[in-house]
Formats: sequence, structure tokens, C-alpha cells
Amino acid sequence: MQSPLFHFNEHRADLEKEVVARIMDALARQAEGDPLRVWQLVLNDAAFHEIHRLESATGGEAERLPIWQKLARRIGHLDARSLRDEVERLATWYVGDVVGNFDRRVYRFASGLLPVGLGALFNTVELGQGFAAFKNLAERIRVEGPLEHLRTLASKGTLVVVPTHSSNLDSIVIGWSLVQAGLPPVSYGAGKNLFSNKLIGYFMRNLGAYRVDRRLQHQLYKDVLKTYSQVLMERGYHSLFFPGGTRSRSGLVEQKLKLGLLGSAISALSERVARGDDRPIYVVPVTINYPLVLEAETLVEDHLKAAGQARYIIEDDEFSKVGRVVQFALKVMALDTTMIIRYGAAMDVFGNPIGPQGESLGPAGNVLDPARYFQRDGVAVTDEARDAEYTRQLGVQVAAAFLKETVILPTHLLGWVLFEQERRRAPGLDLFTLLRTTSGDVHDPEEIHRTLERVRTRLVALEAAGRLRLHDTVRSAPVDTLVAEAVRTFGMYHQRTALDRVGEDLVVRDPKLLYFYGNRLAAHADVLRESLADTPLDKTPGKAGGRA
Amino acid sequence: MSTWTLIGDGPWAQALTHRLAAGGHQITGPDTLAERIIIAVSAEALESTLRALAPRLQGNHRILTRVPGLTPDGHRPGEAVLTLTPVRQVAVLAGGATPETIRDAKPAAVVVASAFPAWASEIQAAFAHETLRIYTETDHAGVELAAALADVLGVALGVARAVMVGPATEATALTRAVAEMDRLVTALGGRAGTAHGLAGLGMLAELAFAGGGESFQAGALLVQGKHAEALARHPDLAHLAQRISERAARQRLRAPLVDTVAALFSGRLPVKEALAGLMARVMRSEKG
Repeated sequence: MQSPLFHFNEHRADLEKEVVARIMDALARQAEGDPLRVWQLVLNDAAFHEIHRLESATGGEAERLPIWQKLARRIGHLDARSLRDEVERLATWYVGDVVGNFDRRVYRFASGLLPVGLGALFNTVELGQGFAAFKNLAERIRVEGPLEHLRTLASKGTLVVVPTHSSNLDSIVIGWSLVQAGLPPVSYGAGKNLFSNKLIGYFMRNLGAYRVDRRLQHQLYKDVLKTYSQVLMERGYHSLFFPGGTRSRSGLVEQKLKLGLLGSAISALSERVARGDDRPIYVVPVTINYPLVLEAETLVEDHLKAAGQARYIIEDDEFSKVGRVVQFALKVMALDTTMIIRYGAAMDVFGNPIGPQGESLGPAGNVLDPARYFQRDGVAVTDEARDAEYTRQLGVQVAAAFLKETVILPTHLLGWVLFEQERRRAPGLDLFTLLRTTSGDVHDPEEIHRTLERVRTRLVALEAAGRLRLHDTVRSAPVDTLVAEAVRTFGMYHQRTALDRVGEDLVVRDPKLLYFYGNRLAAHADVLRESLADTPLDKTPGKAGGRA
Repeated sequence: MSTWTLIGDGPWAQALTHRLAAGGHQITGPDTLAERIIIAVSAEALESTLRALAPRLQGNHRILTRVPGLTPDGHRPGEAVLTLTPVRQVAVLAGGATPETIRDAKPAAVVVASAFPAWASEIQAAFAHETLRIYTETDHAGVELAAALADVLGVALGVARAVMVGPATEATALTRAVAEMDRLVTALGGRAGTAHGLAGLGMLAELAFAGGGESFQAGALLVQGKHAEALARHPDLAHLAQRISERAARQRLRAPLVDTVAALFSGRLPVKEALAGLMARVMRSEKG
């Protein structure tokens, strides 16, 4: 397997120089009319945001406050040339901070070790049985999709892998799935907080990850990130980013995507075309389907807090507690349900499907030349508004692929059905009241089985229509097996289980978790509800005493 | 001057050909496909037209549609282009102007909507004339929806005219039609306010002032209880009302006037009951 990432270090200095030069060129173009004002604006914006941030920072970070304050005072006294030099110095510093590394030895070591390590974690076998564990891991985490085709595409062009995002474990899991699928390693941006663990940070840094400091809000830093990712793609580095931006707080399959990085894939292709480089760029949507999500409790809490929307980075969630990660891993290994990483069909940056040899295809099956999307009357034309709309349209296609490629697992289905039953029992209640008052509600197993069967019939029809995918158990296992598997899974990891059994009855314990997992089906809720329209409802449920 | 391919042979295709030719542009038929393509066909014929073209289309092609209504599957013309062809740069032309006003160079205005401003500007430049003002708009979905809704809600205005209840009732019908249009356009993917432009209010006002047109004729037949004849003469309007009514129902949107028009065409509802039904609805706030 060949990957440009294997030669990253040889090109690193040159790459850094190009990113800085691009940023400076773009700013210089803006500065043509009024250089003093433009350079001042860039520096003032950076200084304002940094001073604001550092004023509440502690430790080593805080030591940088006086440097920024000094710079802010000097901005008004510097001439255009000195301001420009200052911007260039900052851009160079930020690029150096962002740029990753790739060490082939670390990659070989990690791709050999990771499966065994994860395998050991994901199974209760002893470390001595490393390879057996590896085999077991492959059974616990299934990597699906048109992998053969994707391997062909990786040799013909540049892959831009865009997964759904539920957990901080995603980048590790995706990295493992790439090795498993025989796909090349990818370059990706990872939150700087993930590098704080020295061991994980070492591996991430040497395996193509670049550092993204989400606390930095000023435009110059955003330009650095966008330009860096674009130049990587232009140069043929396979890339990965999470278009949902952050982890899905609600459990919903992401439908509102951040278009910035998708846009840089289009800009990268446009640059390639302008330079006569005809290597294609392929966008590959991926869904990561967890039966249990490591940080579910924190995520859903955050989602439900109105203020939570603004809380961008959670520093103190389950991922930061090593014990919780290990506990989670140990539990996942013992699960009946497999975790599924599903690679979707590749598309070009205009959302067209890709043929067997890597060619873009129109809906009628004709071969398309992607370069022509940038042309008018035979000439390539730069048009930012056009590319912005291409990006929006690509976002729609990726979001649609996320829904189509989402695999519904037993926990998702039972979560949806139980929470829906709660909604039906109290049709007037708003979401928050439902979440507050339904803990302890008892559900008759017969009723749940009947409801599940009806919903499942609809789901099978939806799968046949290509609108989603079902786990084998969801599709065809006897309904009591399905329920038993979901109940067991729910009971395995979370501090408070979503539900449990008392005798034969199912008892709701944490409605928030049911809501979170059930949300995986929210996009299809209308269709599923139709199937329940004429089912009778047990309107006099009891409450179970105590808690699980 | 540029070259345009024009597909369709109805009054709109003829009027647009006339306007382009008068501006010194070259026009071809579908056999020699230019980069700029105008499709002026019925909603029923749109999908087959697009399928026939698709194998010859590439990303540099740009399509302008002048297609009233929604396709039989309930899709907007712009959605059909994106689904059935590799073309991404799509625009729509709509508004209260009739093909006759354009052909006879009477003062008029139309709106050209596209999310691709450069494509909208090209169209604007090619069609602009001292008697024809072209306004551009970026809300493509909104303009398509408003235009489709105006045709259907025009039937409701036709009914109001034919029952001869007076200008106050007609004014109410027009106002509530615009409110319903705005609500549906926004809920189905357009932007608030687009319905108040040429493709929404502009088309309704044209119908109301002209007092004729297909929608009004259909309304008159429905008032006379001749729903079978209305259906036979204006099948496009009847189907469109049905499609929008179904799409609104699927998304649980309130569309009392559209639903009433659809029910009148189906013969399920006599006019008297329809009017009584509309009056008896729960009272709401004007903007609710």
C-alpha cells in the first residue's frame, strides 16, 4: 500500500512554507487597496481574541498574555511593512504548531500493536493470546462497505474520509478500520486537548494527525487550518475530517454539516485543475455505529442544557477519565452486538457517484469530467459564490449518505420504541417533562414486543428502499432475542442503565439515554409512527419502586 | 453574444426564443447542445426531457427552467434537474408576466432565481430589454414553490370571484392566499418573504387583475359544480393542487386553501360547504 503520508516528513518544511505563502498572498490581495487597514485588522482580530481568552487562562498559557498586550499596543504605531511581517511571523508560528508528523516506524508499530492492544482490551482474553484477541476484535468491530472499490480509488486519487462523530474514540476507531480495510493512513485534525495524554498524543502526532486548538477563535488561525487542510488534499494526502464539527450531542445522525472543510476539498480540486493535475478527489462518507457511546451521558446532558449548545469543548467528560475508557473498552468486548464501521460509496466533490475505475458518473451512467464544473465557455473560471453553492450541495449529499449508511443496532431500536411509548402515553407533555417524569415507568413486555414487530416491519421496508441499514439482529432475530440483547447491552456500561427488567416487565431507568440512543432513528420517526397509529396502548402503567 | 439551446415548443418557449433572438443571441435545438440550456416544458414532460438530455450533459452546462408546478412525484423542477442530470447550476424563471406580454414587448418584469449568482446574472443580461425587467434572487426553492402555489391559490381566488361575494371577500382571499403561500414556501425549503415577490404575490395579483387565466376559469367551473369538466380542462392544476396538498399533509403543515382547491377538483366537496368550512376554522392570529 502506497500513501503520500509515508513521505510526509521529506515535504514537511516545503508544505509549511506553501501554507504560509498562500495565506500571505490571499491577505496581500485584500491589502492592495488599503494595506495599513487590512494588516491592522488581522492583528487586531487576533490580539482581541487572544487577550480575551488568555485573561481567564492559568498556568503557562497565561504567561503569553503580556506578549499579546504588548503587540496590541504596538499595532497603531507600526507601518504596513512591519505589520505584514508581524502577520507572517504569527502565521508561520501557527502553521508550525498545527502541522503533524508521520513516522513510518510508529505507523508499522502502531498498526501491528493497536489491533492486539485493542483486541486485548476488547476481549477478556489474556495478552498472551494477542492474535486470538485480534481475531476477536475483528468480530466485535465490523468494517463494512465497498472496501475493494475504495482501495482502487486510493491508488487513483485522494480520499477525503468524512465520518459521523459520536465519541472521542472515533479517530482511534477509524484509524484502526483503515488498517483493517487495507486503506492508507489519512491525515486529520484532532483537538489539541486529545494530545494532552502524552502516549496517545505521541501516536497521534506521528500518525498524521495535526493539532487543532479549538480555543483559538481568530480569523488568521482559521485561515491556517483551512489552508493547511486544502494544501494537504491538493498534494494528494488522503484526509479525514468530521463534517458534523463536534460529537453529536443529541444522538441524532448529523444533518447540519460544517461546510468549511468540505469547501476546502472543492478548492483543492479547483487548484489541481488550474495546475493541470488531473488526479481526482473522492469524498467517502462513513458511519460509526456504536451499540453504546462512551460519553453518552455527558453528551445528552449537554444537549439538553440550553446553554450547552455554546459549550463547545467538554474538557471533563468520560474520555478524560482513563478508568472510564478502559471500563468502556472492557464492556464493549463482552457485548453481543458488534460495533459497525460502515464505509459508504465514494462520490466526487460534486456529489456524483464513482465508477469502477475511479471515473465520475452522471445519473445516466455517462462519464463526467469534474474539471468542467469550473469552466465557462471552455475556460476555467474562479467563482467563489459558485463554489460555495457546490459545497452546500455536497453537504446535502454527504448528509443523505449518513442517513442511508447508518446501521440501526438493537439499542437504537429499543431506545426509540420505549421512548415513543412514553410519548404516546403522555401526548401533551413536552420533551423535558417527559425526561423528568418517566423514570421508573413500567412497560408490559407483550406490548413492547408487538410494537417492536410493527416498527421492525417498517424498518425492513426502509432498508429495502435503501434509506437506512439494519444490524442482523434488528432485521431478523426473534423479537425476544432482540430485546434481551438490547437490555443486556444497556446494562453493561453506563453509570445508570437506560432500562432494566423487573420480572418480565421492562422498567425505564434513564429516559435521557433512551432518548439519546433512539434519536439514531429520529429522521424516520414519521414513517415509524404511522406503523403505530392503530396499535392499542396500555394507558395505565405502573411505576416500579427503587432504582437499578 | 452567446448561444443557447431551447427545449420546448409552447408559448413560453416561443416568447423566450423571440427575446433572445431579438437580443442577437444564437439559439439551437436539442441536437446541438449549447452550454446554456432553457427548458420550457410542462411539469409532466420535465422528467422525460431531462432523462433524454442527461447522457450528453457535463458540469459546465447550466439550465434555466420555465416549468410550472411540480413533477408527478411532487418534486420541484430544480430538484428534478439535480437528481436526473449531472448539472448543478440551475435557475428558474417565474413571475406574473405572460408569454404574450414578453412577445409583444409590453412592460413587464420576471424573477430569475438561482443559488449561482453568476448564472442568474448571465440570464439577466441576455433577456433584459427596455420593456422587460429581470430581477435576480438567490432563493431558488422559494421561487419555484411560490410559483407553483400561486397557480393553485389562483383557483381559490377564481372561486371567490365566481361566487360574487364582493371585493372585501376577494381581498380576504388574496391576503390569506399570500399568508398561506409564505407559510408553505418557508416550511418546504424556501425563505420567508420570497412569496411576497414576483413569483408569488406578483402572479396572484396578475390573476386577480386579469380576472381570466386558467386558474380563474377553473375556479368558475368549480363554482358551477362542474368539477369533472374543471378536471378535464385543467388537469395540471388539479394534479398540482393534489401534489402540494399531499406534500403539506406529509409534513403536517396547515394548507386550508390548497386543501380546499384539491377537494373541489376531486368533487368530494361542494363549494358551499367548502366556503362554510373555511369560515368555521379556529380563529388565529394573522401571522400565526
